[in-house]
Amino acid sequence: MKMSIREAINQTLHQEMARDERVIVLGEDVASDQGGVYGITEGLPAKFGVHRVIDTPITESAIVGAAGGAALTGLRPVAELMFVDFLGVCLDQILNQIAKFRYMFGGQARTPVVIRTMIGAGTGTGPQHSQILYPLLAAIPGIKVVTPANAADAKGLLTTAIRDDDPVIFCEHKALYMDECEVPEGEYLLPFGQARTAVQGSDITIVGMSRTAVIAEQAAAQLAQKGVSAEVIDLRTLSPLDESTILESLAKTGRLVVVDESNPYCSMASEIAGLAVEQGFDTLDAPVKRVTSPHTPVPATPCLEAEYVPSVERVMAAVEETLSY
Amino acid sequence: MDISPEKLADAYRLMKTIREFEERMRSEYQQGKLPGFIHIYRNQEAVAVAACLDMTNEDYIASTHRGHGHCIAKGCEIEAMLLELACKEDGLCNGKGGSMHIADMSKGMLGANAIVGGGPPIAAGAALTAKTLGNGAVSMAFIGDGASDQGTVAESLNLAVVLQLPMIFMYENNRYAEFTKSPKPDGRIAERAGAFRYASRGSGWQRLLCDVRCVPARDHARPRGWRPHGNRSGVQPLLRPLRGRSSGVPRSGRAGAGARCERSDTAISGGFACCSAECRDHCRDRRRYPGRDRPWLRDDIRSRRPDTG
Repeated sequence: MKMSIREAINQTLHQEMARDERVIVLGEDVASDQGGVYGITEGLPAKFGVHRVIDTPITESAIVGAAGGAALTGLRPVAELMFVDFLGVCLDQILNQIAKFRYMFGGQARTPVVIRTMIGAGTGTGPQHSQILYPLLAAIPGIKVVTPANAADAKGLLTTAIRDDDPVIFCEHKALYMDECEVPEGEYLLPFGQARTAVQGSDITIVGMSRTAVIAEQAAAQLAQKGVSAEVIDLRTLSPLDESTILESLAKTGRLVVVDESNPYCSMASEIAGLAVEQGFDTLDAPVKRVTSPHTPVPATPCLEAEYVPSVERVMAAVEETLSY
Repeated sequence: MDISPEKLADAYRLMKTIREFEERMRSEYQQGKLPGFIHIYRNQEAVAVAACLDMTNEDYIASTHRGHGHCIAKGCEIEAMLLELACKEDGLCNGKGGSMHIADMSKGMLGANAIVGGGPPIAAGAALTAKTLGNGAVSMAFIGDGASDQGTVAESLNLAVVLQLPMIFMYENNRYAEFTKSPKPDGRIAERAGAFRYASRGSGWQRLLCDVRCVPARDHARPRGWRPHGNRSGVQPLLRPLRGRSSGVPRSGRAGAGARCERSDTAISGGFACCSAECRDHCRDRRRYPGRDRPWLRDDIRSRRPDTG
């Protein structure tokens, strides 16, 4: 059935809440009539009641912490951190609390909590509502970071996230919400740590995640018309990271471009470039290229924002540079 | 009085256990036998014991970095605690947590917390579980006077009111935030909860078991209609009723209860006064309770150990 990412997430929440009554949803506006800013939780309170779909005050530390505490004591909360930028006001509860429980309590604790959050530029929301920040989260041991690029993956990965016994940060790119694709009916799970080879190719490997996986696919289509066979890997999850799929593809193509909407320093692109150098050095025929956003905040003005994020044109240019090395 | 001499004796035994455990741990630490930081709960024994006296393993607490006393009061095994402080494999957390992150899920002890103010949101989550599952459990967050300045405490107070969670905020004012004598506008930290329409009450620690024993707060924190033991008539403040109301009743009549315990000017050495003559005499026996007249901070400050933090 064809549906958007927004619809796929909504459907998954419905399915999992119906399947397991320990699943609750909490966050700002989640029980409102419109179902939050983008209508993701629409229809949930009517079906499952406001005791399981809980509107909270604007209180991110308490939302995330309470979700963690509820997970620790037997529920499976899906908390919404409306925009990932709000990480700034609740980082302690993620970094020092929920990410640590299982390990620092010697394995006696489980923390099955999902934190859904919106990421990314492209909608003109400016410096405090458009960041990516997933590299910052992926750098924290004890949490899993998931970045679906299409509706089918959103469903499969969110189902897995809700059933996972560890904290999962589920990153939804707000510029992708209305993208549609075929989504499997019924129960659908995708394993974490298993990337998707979106396009098969032999000349160069392009790695993307979330929206940049879509951009990489678009670039590969244009490259094909120029006779370049690009392989596109959509990471799907950043932590755990599917290193072997990247390295196997690199072994086949010998060339690597990583497309990442993060700021460049300590980005996922940096991490994957490091992986290629450390473990795939013998297979490299050219230096690894990173295509990222610049090291500045995200501008609100649409004309600058369009230049800010990685584009098909920038990916094409990086590929050509790598191929001509 | 609904507290029996036997129960008071149990409480005293727990307090004494905490005291002896802490004295021993401090000694071990000063000899360099324990790694990391150790924060000693000495002189606050009555708070933890009174707070947890009527809790079961199904009730939850979220502790602080000064958490050994809370652990013992909540029923954690002493030997496993000791091994955890020594960071041994057989410790409560396999040595992964140590003193500042000691926890026991089987006892509803959701962890000491090395982040000052880190615990209350977690406790609120446990209360949310209790409310959602309707199992009658309550959740308590321990909050030092230092933590009372953290935003997470205010956020949790608010969330617990808005979501009507079965939660108790237990303030422990030892008048020091880290090494600094904590500067508070009026010195009465728990009354801040009044801004969120909590009732608060307090006492000097010497009278704590009589005044802030948490049955009333716990039962008021429970969802309406919940009857854990059938008859609640015995649930009353033991010695000194809260002005105009019984202990822990939220002023709004609809939200979680609050309780506070301020260290009074005269409180020294975590004294323990009881409401029955025989227990009082028992507790006043210096041979049973050595060190009761020692001002607690002096030794620690003099020795410059981090455990005064």
